[in-house]
Order: sequence, then C-alpha cells, then structure tokens
Amino acid sequence: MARSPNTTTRDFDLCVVGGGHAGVEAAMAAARSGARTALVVLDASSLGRMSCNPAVGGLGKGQLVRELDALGGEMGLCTDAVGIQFRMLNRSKGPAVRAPRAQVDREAYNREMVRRVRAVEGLSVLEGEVVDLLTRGRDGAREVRGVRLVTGEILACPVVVLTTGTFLGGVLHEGERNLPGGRHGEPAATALRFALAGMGLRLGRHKTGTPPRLDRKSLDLSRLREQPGDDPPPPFSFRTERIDRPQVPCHLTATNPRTHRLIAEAAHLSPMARGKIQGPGPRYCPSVEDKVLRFPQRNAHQVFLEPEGYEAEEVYPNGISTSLPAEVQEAFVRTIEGLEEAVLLRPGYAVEYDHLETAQLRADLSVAGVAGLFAAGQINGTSGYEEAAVQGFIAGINAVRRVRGERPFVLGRDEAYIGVLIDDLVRVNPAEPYRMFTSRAEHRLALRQGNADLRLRSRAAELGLLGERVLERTEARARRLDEACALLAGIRSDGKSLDIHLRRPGTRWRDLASGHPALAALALEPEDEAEVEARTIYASYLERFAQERERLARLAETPLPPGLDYASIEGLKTEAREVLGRRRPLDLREARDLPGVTPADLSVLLVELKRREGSRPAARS
Amino acid sequence: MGKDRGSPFDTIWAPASPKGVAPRGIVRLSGPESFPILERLCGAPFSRRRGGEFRNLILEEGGTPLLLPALCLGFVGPASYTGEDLCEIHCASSPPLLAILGRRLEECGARGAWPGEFTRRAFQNGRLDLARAEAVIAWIRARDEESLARAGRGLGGGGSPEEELRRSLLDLWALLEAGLDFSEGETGEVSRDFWEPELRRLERRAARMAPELPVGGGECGLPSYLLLGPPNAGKTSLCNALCLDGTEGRGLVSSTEGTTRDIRWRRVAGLEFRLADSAGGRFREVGEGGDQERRILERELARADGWIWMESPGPGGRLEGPPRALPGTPALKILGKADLRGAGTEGRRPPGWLPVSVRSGEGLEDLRESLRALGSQSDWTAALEAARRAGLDTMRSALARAVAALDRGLGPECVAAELREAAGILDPERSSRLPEELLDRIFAAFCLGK
Repeated sequence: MARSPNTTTRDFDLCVVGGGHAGVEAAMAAARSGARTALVVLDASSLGRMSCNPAVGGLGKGQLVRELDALGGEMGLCTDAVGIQFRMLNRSKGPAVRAPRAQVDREAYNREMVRRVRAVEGLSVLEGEVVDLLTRGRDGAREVRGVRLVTGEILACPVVVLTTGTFLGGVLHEGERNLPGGRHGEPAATALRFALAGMGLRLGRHKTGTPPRLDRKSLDLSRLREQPGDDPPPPFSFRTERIDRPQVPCHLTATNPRTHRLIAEAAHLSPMARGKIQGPGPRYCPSVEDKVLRFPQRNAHQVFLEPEGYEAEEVYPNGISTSLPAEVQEAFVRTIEGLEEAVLLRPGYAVEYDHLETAQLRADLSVAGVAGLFAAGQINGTSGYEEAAVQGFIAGINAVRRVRGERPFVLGRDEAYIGVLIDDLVRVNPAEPYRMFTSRAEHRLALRQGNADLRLRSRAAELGLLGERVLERTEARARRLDEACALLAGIRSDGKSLDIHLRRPGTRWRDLASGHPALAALALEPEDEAEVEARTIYASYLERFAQERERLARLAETPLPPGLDYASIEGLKTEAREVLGRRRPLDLREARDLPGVTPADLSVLLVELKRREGSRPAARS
Repeated sequence: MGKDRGSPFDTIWAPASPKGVAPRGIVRLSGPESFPILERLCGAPFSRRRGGEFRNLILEEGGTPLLLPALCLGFVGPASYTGEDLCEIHCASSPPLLAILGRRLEECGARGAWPGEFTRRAFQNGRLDLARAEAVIAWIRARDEESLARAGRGLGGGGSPEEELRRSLLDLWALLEAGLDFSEGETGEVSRDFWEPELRRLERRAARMAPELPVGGGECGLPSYLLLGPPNAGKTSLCNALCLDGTEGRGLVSSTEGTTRDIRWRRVAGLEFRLADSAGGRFREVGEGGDQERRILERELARADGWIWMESPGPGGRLEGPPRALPGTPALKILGKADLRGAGTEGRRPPGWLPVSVRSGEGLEDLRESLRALGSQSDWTAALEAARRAGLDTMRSALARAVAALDRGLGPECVAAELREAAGILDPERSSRLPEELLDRIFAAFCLGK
C-alpha cells in the first residue's frame, strides 16, 4: 500500500515498546546479549519512572529483585545507587520469608536508569508513539515485521516486546473527572490498543490507584513515630559491597473515625462506586474508600509517610490511595494526625488500562498467535515494579533467543520466584492484578532472598550477562558455605553434631563460632552466617523437597510403551486421553509437558505402568 | 450380577427428566459417539459449537417412521458436565415416546447409563471435585428425605467431615500466611497464640477422624445391604467376623434371642461395602401393623440396595427361606453355622445357598467374593471412598508433622509448608499452586496493602 513520501524505515533485531521497569530491563538485557535493540518511549526522560510509591522490594517482591540481580538485571543496582532507606523485612521471622525493601529517591532513580540505559552499547532510545504492530499472515498465524510510529516511520524488526504498563488504553479517574492518560500528565497509547485487538488478541481491563502527594513543608512530622532504616543498610544487589549513603526515616500515622466519616459521606462520588470503573482493582492494594467501606469495624488504618528523596518537596502517603474528588481528598487528609495543615501537590487518582489475557502467553513470555511478539509487565496483568522488571528481563532474553533460533530461557517453579510468577500467569488467567506473595511459591523454604545468587548461578552463567569476576565470587561463596555446613556436621559437642545445636531455636552461628575456633576461622560475613543458619534450620524440609524433586525427575524418565492404549486406561481425563493418544509421548516428561495433561493424569499413567509391570510375569506363567 | 456394566468409554444415555408425564422430556448422551449418534438421529450434521438447534429426530417404531421435533443441545468436551462430548435432547415428554427414543439410541450404539455414571465421568474428568461427586452420588442414592437433605448439604460445599476439616485448615493456613506475607505494619502482629491452639485442635480432630468415616446407609455412596434372618442364625457373629475393626459398632453377640435390636451400619473388612445386621427376629412382622422396630426395618430396607438372607439349618437340615413379607428376592442366601451341621449334610448342600461358618472360617472368603461382586455394581463409589481415605491420611500425617515442627521450635513458615501439603492433597490438580480461596480468606479477614 502507498505510504506517505516521508516514510522512513530503520532496521533492528528487536524493538521494545515502553520504557518502564519492564521495558528498560528488556532493552538492556537484549542489547547486552548483542542484539541491535530499539527502545521506543513516549518520553525519553521518563525511563524507569516510578508512578506509584518511591520504594522497591518488600515481601515476595524483594526476592524477585534479588533473583533478577543474580541473573544480571539492573533494578537492584539502580536501587542501591539511589536508595535513601534500606530495611530487611520480617527479621523476626524465618529466613525464608525475609525480604529487602528500600525507599528510593524517585527523581534520582529515574535519572540513574536513564544514565544506565544510555550507557548500554547497541541500544537506541527512540522517542515516539507506536501506533501499529506490523505483521504478515492471517489471524492465528501472524508474524511480526516491525512497528509503525505515529510519524509514519517504520522500525523493521522480527521481534517486538510490548511493555506498555498502564498506558495501553489508559484512562485516569479523579472524582467525577476522567481523561485518557497513562500516568499523571502523560498521554495514553490508544491507537496501539486497537491494533492489538484487531489482530484477534484478547484484552482485559485492570485498574489501580495512587494516593495524593503531599508537600513536605506543610507536614508536622515531629509528633509522629519514626521508622528508621537498618544499620548497616542491606543492599539489594549481590554486586554491591556496601551502602554508605545517609538513611532517611519514614513516619507513621493513621486514619481515624473522623477521616472515615468524611470518606463514607463522599463514597458515592468515587468512580468505583458510581460504576465508572469496570476493571477489578487489586485486593491487596485497596483504595482508602474500599478500606473504609469494607472494614467498617476498623477505626484506624495505618499511613506511611514515605519521603520521595533527600531534598524532594513531595511526600508519598502510603495507604490512602484514592480516586475521590480532589477537595474531598484534601478534607480527609487534614483529619489525619500530623497532616492537619497538609497541602496536596497533586491529587490521587485511579488508572484503568488494558492487559492481555494471559491465557495467550507462553512460558517464554511470547504471545501465542503472533510469532515474534513478546509481552512483559502490567500488560500481562501484573502489578508492581518488581513483577514488571523480572518479566521484562525474561522477555528481553527470550526475544533475542528467538531472533537467534535458540531454546527459550525458562525458570522452573522450584528454581525461582520468577518461575512461579510466569508459570502462574501462563496457567491461570488472574482475575485481578497479580502481585507476588511468598505463599505463592510452594518451594518457599528453598527460594530465599539470601541464596538467589547461589541457586541461579548456573542459569546466570548460561546468560553470560554477569562478568567472570562476579560468577567466580559466587562460586567462592558456594564453596565457603558448603565448607561451613560440612564443619557443622563434623564437629560434635555434648554428644550432638553442631548442626543439631544450630537447629535449636534462638541459636545463632555466632554463638557456636565463639566456642569453636574452626568455625570462627572461616570469618563468615553476616549474610553468609544467615545463609548457613537457614540451610540448617530447613535441612529436613529441603531434603524432603529434594527427594521429591529427584523422584519426579526419575519418574519423568519413565518410558511410555509406544503401543499404549490410552483409550483403555480408566481414570485419565478425556482431554488427556485424547492428547496422549494423538501425540504419543515417549516418556512421562514429554507427557507432562503436553497441554491438557494434569499431575493427576500422570499419576494415573504411573499406576497403569506399575500395574502392567506387575502383571507381566503373571501373564507369562 | 454387575459384571456386564460395559466399558467406561462407551457412549451412555439416560433420561434426565422425571419418569411419567412431565412438561418436557430430556435425554442426555455422553461419550465419544454422542455427536455421531445425534447426527444419525437428525439425519444431518450437527454443529459442534456450543448451542442449541431445533431438529426433527427420525425415529422408527414397528416400521413406521416417526418424526420427533426436539431441541438438541451439544456440549463439546472437556467443557461439559461430564468432561466428554455431551448432547441433550429436549422433547415432548411421553413415557412411550421416550422409550422409543431410548431404544433408538441403543440401536445407534449408546448404552443405558447406570445410576451415577454421568457423575462418575464428571469426577474422573476433573469436572467435579471429590466432595461434590460424593454429594451428587449420595443425592442419587438418597432413599429418604433425611439422607436427601444431608446430600444437599454436601452439594452446597458443606457436608463431609473432611470437607469441614479442610475448610478449617484453610482458615488456619490463611492466618499463618497473612502473618508471613504482610509486614507487621499491615496486619498487626499475627502472634502464635492466634493459631497454635487451632493447629493442635485440628491435628487432634484429624487423628480421631480416620476410623470415624461416616457409616450409615446408602447416603455415604457405598453399596449397602441388610442382613436378615431368623433369630440366632449367627448374623451378628458373621458381621463381626467380616467387619474391619472391633471398636466401631461391634454388635453384641449372645445366644439369647432378640439381643440384636438396633440396626447398625458397618463397613465390611477389606471391602468398600456396608452391611447392616437387622433387628433379629422381627422380620416376620414386616407388612404387619404397628411395631416401631418393624418401621425401622422397613425404612432401612427402602434405603438399602438390597438384602441378604441368612439362616442356620434347623433339625434335619431344614431351611425355611425368607418370608414372603420381605420385598423382592435376597441378593444372597447364606447358610450359617455350617460347622454345626450333622454328618451327611455335607454332600447335599442346598443349591443357591452359600455355606459359611464363622467359627471355622469356612466359606468366609467365598462370601467376601460374592459381596465384592454385589458391590462392583457401584464400585466407583469405592474408588471415591479410597481417594477420600488417601486424602484424609495425607491430611493427618501433614498435620502431625506440623505439630511436630512447632514442638521442635520451627517457625510458622515450616508449619505453613505442612499445611500446604495437607490442604493441597484434597485438590491434587492445584496442589502446587496457592489456592485462590486462601487469598480470599486473607483479604476477607485483614485489611491489607498500603
């Protein structure tokens, strides 16, 4: 078809659309893997911008960032560079459920990410709006050719990674007002939405919200409880030696019955209540109006006042996300202790946006039906910077692998939270924005923030994004920890080996090391001590899991007789019976990977194989 | 008896509307040949897209063609009740018409379903969970209003003790996870005092539950037969010999006539089967007026799948046989106290009777075999029962490990690992994933998130 004369075309290996937390990780991972990469964003200065709270990590999420870092991602390093308060959450609980969290300087994070992206060779940052995805072929068998920008310019590439966040079909709601937009003051990507829907991709709608931003000068923090950071600050990245930056405290306050009364009286004005927003909101991040209406028995909800930076004039009041009209927001905020004189710099709002139904996703984050299309982040129905970042990284890696015709990089549920996240997305189409919880990981006791580098080191080596030096250091750590554990098992005291002593509640490595010079001689760093303690406490569980994994692995090798009559095996589900009969897998591993074959079907097959084995000698006699 | 039940992969049919004159007659087909059979009846292809079409079905009776206008619905597996291809024919309801339709379906290769077979397929294809499948079966097998009401509770998700245990377990697990997955600032501290007593309570409850699987009549889904016979025929002794354990519902044995008064349902050793020892001596009164025990016996007879007659030979080896007052014929006739018979009776065992001696053990194995054959008519309920027991066992051992972990000083994350296993096993499909209902519980109980 004829194009306007000023149409230009530029060639790339792959193109990332969107420069949020998913987009920057995707683009950097791809470019570092050697692909000529274009990162197309609406505003080149907005790379890695934090649209919600100025914090990284938290329970479940902190583990994701640690894993991303262990594979060679950027989020951890960037956080360490600009964080203003670092804490390890759940310190009073077991090591498997501890996770790092940091407050960061919002502006500085954004600047630091721009700097990092700019520094990557082979990565071109292009400003513009992508309005169309160019493909060839029919619905269901399309293939990516490139993208077209609003200017008419065409970027030709065989692979596109979509990381559109809240911008795809985004609508901002504030009280009775609503307007298209992806973030406060930034336009939405509306044309692309139609292009995707036109390709037969199924889209759903999600919503999320943010609180109003307060002017720091207008707050009286002196009366409020301080929440300091940890000393020393625990870094996110395994590559960060130490953080020397000064730490800034957060402050705690709470809503009260007066706040609740104002909110309840105005609740009918919220777009949710008025049916203006259809998409489901996340249950774990309710708006303050939701909290008040759903929990009328509570007369206080906590509000965390998070500084936006060392010098920033804005304060982020975490806990009162709202889409009530601005004047109501101001009124209820001023009922809160310490905020009586608060000046709202900008009101809170809700944003509604499109996401892909994740039933269309594959484990490598490619989109079924459009060859060469990948998606990561909120477009896949997740919420959170960390969830977005890890997906971006995996999508970027797999996009490059597709260009090169290599095997996809897929992490298992037993290897990483990242594996849990993607597997959950692909297998269950989440009804609400998906956030990581540690309880989602059935191997939680093994997937610790403290061992992400160790458990992922062979996978990181496969990717080759980390330098030799980093990998060697990780290997050295692995050896050191093995040595420490071997020592514990070998030294006896009071008739029991030291690892048994360490399993007693309240006993620490340090206590044992003070009485046993051999342990003290290892001079373990605090994070190594913690890791040895974790391994010891969970030893019996980890062994059980390992045995189970081994059993499953052995089972997976079990060959399936070529002539097996699946139709005659009672107990198989119809769908499994059909697909097994048609595809005739060679062993249980292949059978397991077939769509429609469930774990229950595998156990039926196993019983059948055992039964046959048992009946064979009888048949001969 | 119960041997030619056909393959579980046949295409089956059954009327889904009440017998007799009804506003609408509904017949269901399920299995791989459902659509082809429907197409033969229509004489034309039928769309596999889910939806209904009005068609004229071509029936034939005595050489006379008969057109039956009907609404035909097709559901392509696995998205159907049974998880297989399933078709429904909605037509005018007239008993002779439905009879003709049934004959025609069988000519086309469909087999009449046995009771509960649609549900069995739904269970096997993962369309129904264990608890619901049991409830549906109990519903189908319900013999009176009381058991129907019980079954209804099961369908609504209430009902079975394991289901209740599992719900309590999920509540407990949710509490633990809320404390682990959210910082104290969000949930307030979920202290151990909150959940530890409940964990210990559940562990004790599960431990007690094993021998306490509900016993009693057909509503449990197991085949049930009443053991009847004249006083002192040895019915209670036989029941005791067959029954699994000595503590539960063991009958009181005495040589005094009339010792056995109440009907108690018991599971027979090694068999997924229930047997009730009748009120000794009262059978004569069936059909006669007034007596309360007679009414109990009548009620139990109506609930049971059938009855078994047991008699010990009188003087000269004479056998009376069951009285006419009992409904139908016995499923089995047992000749009791076989060891007591005098010399000479060995050679002339009455045909059709199964000689059994509790004292010598003679015939017990044969009896078990015969009972097994009776039970195989609904052996899939036995499969359900076995699945349920396995689930309970897993739940028990995981809870026991959870308590042990706590006693060893391990933290809630270890207890939670055990609870995951305990809760997951009843739902093997999703055992590795966090059940959505767990999150529902957490978010219903706590106002979480910042």
